[in-house]
Amino acid sequence: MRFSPSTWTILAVAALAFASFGAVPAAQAQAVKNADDIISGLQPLKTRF
Amino acid sequence: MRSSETSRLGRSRLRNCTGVAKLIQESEAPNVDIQIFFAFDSADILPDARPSLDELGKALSDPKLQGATFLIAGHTDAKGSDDYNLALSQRRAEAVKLFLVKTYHVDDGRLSAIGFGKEQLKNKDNPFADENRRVQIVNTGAQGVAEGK
Repeated sequence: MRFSPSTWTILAVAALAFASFGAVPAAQAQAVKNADDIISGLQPLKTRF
Repeated sequence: MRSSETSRLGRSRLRNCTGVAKLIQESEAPNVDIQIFFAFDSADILPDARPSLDELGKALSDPKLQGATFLIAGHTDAKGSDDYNLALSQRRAEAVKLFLVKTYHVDDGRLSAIGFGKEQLKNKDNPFADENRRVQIVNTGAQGVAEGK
């Protein structure tokens, strides 16, 4: 059986999408705010850096 | 205690919480939302929550925030009754406070824990979204000012 180039492209994109979907566990999907971001967000407005 | 009395107390507390939340919003106090993972129907902190809590602990221990006081506000999504969510969010806010005091030795007097239940949804368009289940840290000012010093 022969596949056209567009079929290979579709298969490759689907495989990549499937692989990346499984790479991130659901519980870790939410980005962890680092300490510097938290400090920045909690700084009083006058002294924010 | 009778259930009607419990419910009345819950509604009274809810009004107080809403008042505090309104004050915070109006004062535009600096705040950050942090997603903390808890076991279902529990205030037990899951291992997945540890990285977020460690970063929060480091931040609140940093000299740049020395002397500031913070409100740890617990929020739930819209599943369940008002009373149930208020109690659960309160226990979760207290669990975060306990973690910060025990693990990072943050001064107990700098932290207040209040559960707001489902009153302050982050995503009002989707009341059941995960992002509504969160802990919000609010800078409530300098310790000396808060204590009237």
